[in-house]
Amino acid sequence: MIRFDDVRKIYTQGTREVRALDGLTLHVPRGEFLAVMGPSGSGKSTFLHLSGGLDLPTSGGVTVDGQSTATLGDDGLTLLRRRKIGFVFQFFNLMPTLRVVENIALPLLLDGNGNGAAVPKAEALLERVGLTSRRDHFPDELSGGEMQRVAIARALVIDPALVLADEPTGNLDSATGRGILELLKEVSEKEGRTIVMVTHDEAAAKWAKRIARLRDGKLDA
Amino acid sequence: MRALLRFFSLRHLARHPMRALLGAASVALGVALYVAIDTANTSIAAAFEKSVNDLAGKAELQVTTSEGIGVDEAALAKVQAVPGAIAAPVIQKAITFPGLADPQVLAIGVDFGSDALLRMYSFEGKPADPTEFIAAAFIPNAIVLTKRYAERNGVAKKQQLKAATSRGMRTLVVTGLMEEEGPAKAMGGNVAIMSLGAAQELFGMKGRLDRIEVAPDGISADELTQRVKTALGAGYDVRRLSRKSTAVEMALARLRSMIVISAIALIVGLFIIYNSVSISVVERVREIGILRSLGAKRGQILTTVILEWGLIGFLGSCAGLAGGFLLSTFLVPRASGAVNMFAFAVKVDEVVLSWSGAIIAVLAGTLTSAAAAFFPGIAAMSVTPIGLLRQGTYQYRQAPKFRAAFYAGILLLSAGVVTLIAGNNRLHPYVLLAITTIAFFAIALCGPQCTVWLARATRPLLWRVFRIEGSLAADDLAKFPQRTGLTVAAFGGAISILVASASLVESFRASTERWMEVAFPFDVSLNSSDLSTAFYSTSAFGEDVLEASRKVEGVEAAYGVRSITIPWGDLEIMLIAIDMPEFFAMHRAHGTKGGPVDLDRPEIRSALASGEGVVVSENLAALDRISPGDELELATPAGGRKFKVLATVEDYSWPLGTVCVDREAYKRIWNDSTLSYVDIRLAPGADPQKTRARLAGELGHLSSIFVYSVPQLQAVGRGFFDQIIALTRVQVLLALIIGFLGIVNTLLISVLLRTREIGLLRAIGASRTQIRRSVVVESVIIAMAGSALGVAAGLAGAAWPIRLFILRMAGFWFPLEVPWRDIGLALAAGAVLGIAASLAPARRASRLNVLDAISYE
Ligand SMILES: Nc1ncnc2c1ncn2[C@@H]1O[C@H](COP(=O)(O)OP(=O)(O)OP(=O)(O)O)[C@@H](O)[C@H]1O
Ligand SMILES: [Mg+2]
Repeated sequence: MIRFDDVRKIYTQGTREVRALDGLTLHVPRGEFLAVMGPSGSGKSTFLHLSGGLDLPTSGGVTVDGQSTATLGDDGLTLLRRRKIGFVFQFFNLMPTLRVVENIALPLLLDGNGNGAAVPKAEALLERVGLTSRRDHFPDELSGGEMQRVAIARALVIDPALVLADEPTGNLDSATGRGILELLKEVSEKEGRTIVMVTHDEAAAKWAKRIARLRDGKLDA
Repeated sequence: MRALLRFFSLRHLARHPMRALLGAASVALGVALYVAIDTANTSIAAAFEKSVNDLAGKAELQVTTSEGIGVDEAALAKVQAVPGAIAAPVIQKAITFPGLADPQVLAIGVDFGSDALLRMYSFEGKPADPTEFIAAAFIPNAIVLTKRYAERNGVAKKQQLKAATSRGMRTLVVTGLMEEEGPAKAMGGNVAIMSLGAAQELFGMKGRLDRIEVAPDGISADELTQRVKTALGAGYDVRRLSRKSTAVEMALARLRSMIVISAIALIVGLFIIYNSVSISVVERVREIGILRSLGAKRGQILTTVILEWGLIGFLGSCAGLAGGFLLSTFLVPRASGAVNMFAFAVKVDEVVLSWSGAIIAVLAGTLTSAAAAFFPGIAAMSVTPIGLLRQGTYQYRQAPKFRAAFYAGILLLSAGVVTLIAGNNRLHPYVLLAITTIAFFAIALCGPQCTVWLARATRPLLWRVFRIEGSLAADDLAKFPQRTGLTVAAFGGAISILVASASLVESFRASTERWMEVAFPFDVSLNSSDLSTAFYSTSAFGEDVLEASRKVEGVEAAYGVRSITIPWGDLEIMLIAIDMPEFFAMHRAHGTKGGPVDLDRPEIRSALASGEGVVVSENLAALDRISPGDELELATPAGGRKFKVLATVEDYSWPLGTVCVDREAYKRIWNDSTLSYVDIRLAPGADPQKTRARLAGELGHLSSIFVYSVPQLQAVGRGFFDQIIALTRVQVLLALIIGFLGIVNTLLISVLLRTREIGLLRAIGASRTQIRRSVVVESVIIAMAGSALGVAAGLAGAAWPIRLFILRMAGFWFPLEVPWRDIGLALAAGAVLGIAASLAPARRASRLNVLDAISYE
C-alpha cells in the first residue's frame, strides 16, 4: 500500500539543513496495522505527511496505492486524499463552523455528493463511534475524546483504503484511548483497511500488527 | 523602545506588506479626496477673488440699474460730475477665439481717459507718448492682448483673429501687446482690451454700459455712496462693488459637498486599520507575552503598536497628499468650466496647494490610523493571551450582543428620520451631513445581527447552487459577524454613493428634460446672443424684431421674452418677462400637458397682467420657503416693490430660481421694452429649414439675431449638464475603490485567520479550485449584500437628506427619479467588484501550505 524507497526530506532554513527523513526505506502492505514510534523530531509526522501526499520528498520515491506521489500533481494528490485516504490529526481535526454530522460528511460533500447520499453514511458512522446524541453539536461543545472519535468517523466515511493517524490518543486518558484503538483495530481486521498510526505510547503500539521505530529519519533496526 | 520597534513591529510589517499597504491605501484615498477638494476650492476662490480685485483696481462702488440691462452713458457724466468721485465706464464680456488653444477671453471696453485713473495699464515697449500709442492701438475692431496670452497661444502683433462673441463671429486685429499690470492680470491674463466704442459696437450696446465703477477721491466710501445716489436719483442701483458671483458660489458649494466622501473614506480606512491591528495583535499574542515576560511594559508595547500604525497612516497620508494634488488638477478645469458657462468668472492658471488643508488632511489621516490602532492595542494589553486566542474562535453564539447593537442601530436610524421629518427642511446643511453620517453608523451597528440572519438565510440557497463551497462561505460570513457586517456597510456606503448620485443626476436630467419639453412649445427661437459663448447675456433686441417676425412667411405665432438677473440678497435670481396671452395660446396650440398650462386660468392671467402677481420657480420656493399667497419683494427701478406669489412652476433656467412676470407689466414697472428672445411657432406645413433661413435673412438688418431650433437649445442645456456629471463621476469612482479595498482587506484577514481550516480542508480532499471558489462566493455575497443595502440607502439618502442638502448648498430642487439603469449597473458593479476583490485572497487561500494547518506548534 505504501512504499518508501530511500526517501529523504530535507528542510533548509537559511544555511541550516534539517534532515527530517534521511534515507528511509519502508514497505507497508495492504491491510496492515502499523504503529510508528520514535523520539521527538525523528521524522514520524513527516513520514505520515509524505504518505498522505501532503508533501513531497526531497529525493527518493514514495508510492501510495501503486502511484508515485511525485508524479500526481496537486489535483491528483487531492483526489488521492479525497477518495482513498482518511486522516486523523493530533489536535486540529474538525471545522469549527460545521456541526458534527456535517464534519463527518465533509469529505463526501467535497467529492460532490449531495446531502441525501452523504448524511445517512455520516449518521451510520456516528452511531458506530457512539456519538449519535451529539449529531447537531458544534466541535467546541465536544470533549477531546469525542472530537477524536468524530475525526475517525470522518476519516472512515469515504471507505478509505488507507487511514493515517497522528497520535490519535495523544492527549486522551487511557480508557478513552482504548476505545479509539479498538475501533482502529476493528477497521483494520474486519474491513481490511491499511492503518498507519504514529504514537509515543508503547501500550498503544501493542494494538498494532507491526511497529516501525524511527531515529534521525531512518528505521531504527 | 527602538529595539521594540525594530524587532517587533517593523519585522512584522515586513512580513505582511499587503496589510500595511491596504491600510495606507485607504487612508491615502480619504486624504487625497479631501486635499483635492480643498485645493480646488481654494484655487478657484483665490483665482476669482484675485480677478475681481485686479479688475476693480481702486474702484469701490458700482452703479447698475435694476433692469439688469446695463446703464445708459448719460449716467456716467452725472457720476463724473460728483465731487470726490472718480468714475469709469465698464463693459466686460466673454469672447472666444475658436482657433486658439486657450480660447476663452474676457473682453474689456475701456474709455482710457477716465479708466486710467482707476486702473493701471502698461503697454509693451513703453512708447514715449502713451496717448499716441493708445490712439493707434484702438482703431475699430482692434484689441490689445496680454503678452502672456499671446505667447501661450502663438498670437503675433497685427494678427487677425476670428472671435465668437455674443453677437456672432467677428474678426478682430491684435494691434498691441501689454504687460500684465492692473486688470490685465485678471483671469490669468486671458484679457483683451479694446476701446469703449468698439466694445459697444461689438456687443450691440450702443449708448450703454455694463456698469459704472466709482472710486472715492478724498472722501469716505459711505459719503461717496450718498453723493452718487443723490446725483443719479431713482432707477439706479448704487452699491459696494460685488465680490460674489452666483455661479462661483454654486460651484464652490458643489465641490464642498463632495467632502462627505472623503469622510467616509477615512472611516473605512479606520475600519481597515482597526481590523489589521486586531489581527496582528492576535497573531502576535505569543510574541507580546514573551516581550512582556522579558520586561517590556504594557505602555511600551501599546506605544509601539500606535507608533507603527501612526507611521503607516502618515506615509499613506503623504501619498494621498500627492494624489490629491493631482486629482485637483482634474477637478479645477471642470468646476471652473461649469462656472464659465454662466459667466466668464474664473480662470485658474495655477492650482495652488492649500497648505492648511494639506496639514489638516495629513494630521487627520495619521491620527485616524493611530486611533484605529489604539483600541485593539489596549485590548491586547489588558486581555490574557488565552482570552485573545479565544477571540479568534467561533462567535456564532454571541447573538445577544449583536441583537442589542441591532436595536441600538434601529433606534439611531429612527431618531435620524424623526429629526428629518420634524426639521421639515429647515435643517442646516451640516445637520443634514451629521444625520447622514449617523445613519451610516446606525447601519454599521445593525450589521452583525443582519449578517447572522443573512448567513442563515442564504446557506440553504448557497448549498443548492454551490454545494459545500457555498455553505462553507456562508459559515465563514457568520463566523465574524462584526467584520462581515462592517465590510458590507462600507461597501454599501460606496454603492449608495453611486446610486444616490445616479439618482440625483437622473432626477436632474429628467426634470430638465421634462421642463424642456413643456418650456419649448415653439419650433424656433430667435436669440439676441450666441448661446455657444455664454448661456446668459444681457444683450437684447428691440420689439420691432417681434413685430417683424410675425410677418415672415411660415410663422404662425410668436411671443417675446425678456430675461434679466436681479439682485437677491447677496446673489442674483432671474426675472423672466413673457408675453403671457401669446405664450398660453401657443401652449394650447402645442397641446402641452401640465407645467405652464396649469397657470392658464383667468384669475392668474389677470393678476399677472396687472403686475400684482408673479409666478416663482419651485427651486426658489423651496430655497426661500415661499408658497403661493405669500408676498415677495423685488428690486425695480422705482425701488423695492411687493408682488403676490400666484403659483409655483418647475423651471430650471437659473440655479437659484426664477420669477416670472407678464411682459406688459414688466414694461411698465421696469421701463424696458427690449427682448432677449422671441419664440416662434411655425405654420402647419411650413418648411422649418426655409423658414429659419427667411427669419435670419429678413430680420438680420434690425439687429444681430441667432436662430435656434428646439433640438439645438436642448443640446445647449445638456452640455452644461455634462460638466456637472464629470464631477459626480469622480466621487463615485473613489467611493467604489474604497469599498473595494474594504472587501479585499476583510477577505485577506479572513483567509489568514482560517489558515488551519483551509489546510484541514485541503488535507481531507478539498481541491484548490474548491477553496478558491468558496472565497469568491463569500466575497460576492458580501458585495451583493452591500449592493442591496447601498441601493436602498442610496435611494433613501437621495430621496431625502442629500436632496435637501443639495438644495440648501446649491439651489437645485427636483422630484426624485429612480435610476433603474444605474441600479442595474450598481448591482453588476457589486458582483464584478466582489469577484475582483476576492482574486488575491482566493489565490492566497488556494496556495496555502497544507501542512501549516496541521503542523501544530
Ligand atoms: N516545515 C519544517 N521546516 C523545518 N523543519 C521541519 C519542518 N517540519 C519538520 N521539521 C523538522 O523535521 C524534523 C522531523 O519532524 P517531525 O515533525 O517529522 O518529527 P516527529 O517525529 O513527528 O516529532 P514529534 O514526536 O515531536 O511530533 C524535526 O527536527 C523538525 O524540526
Ligand atoms: Mg509529530
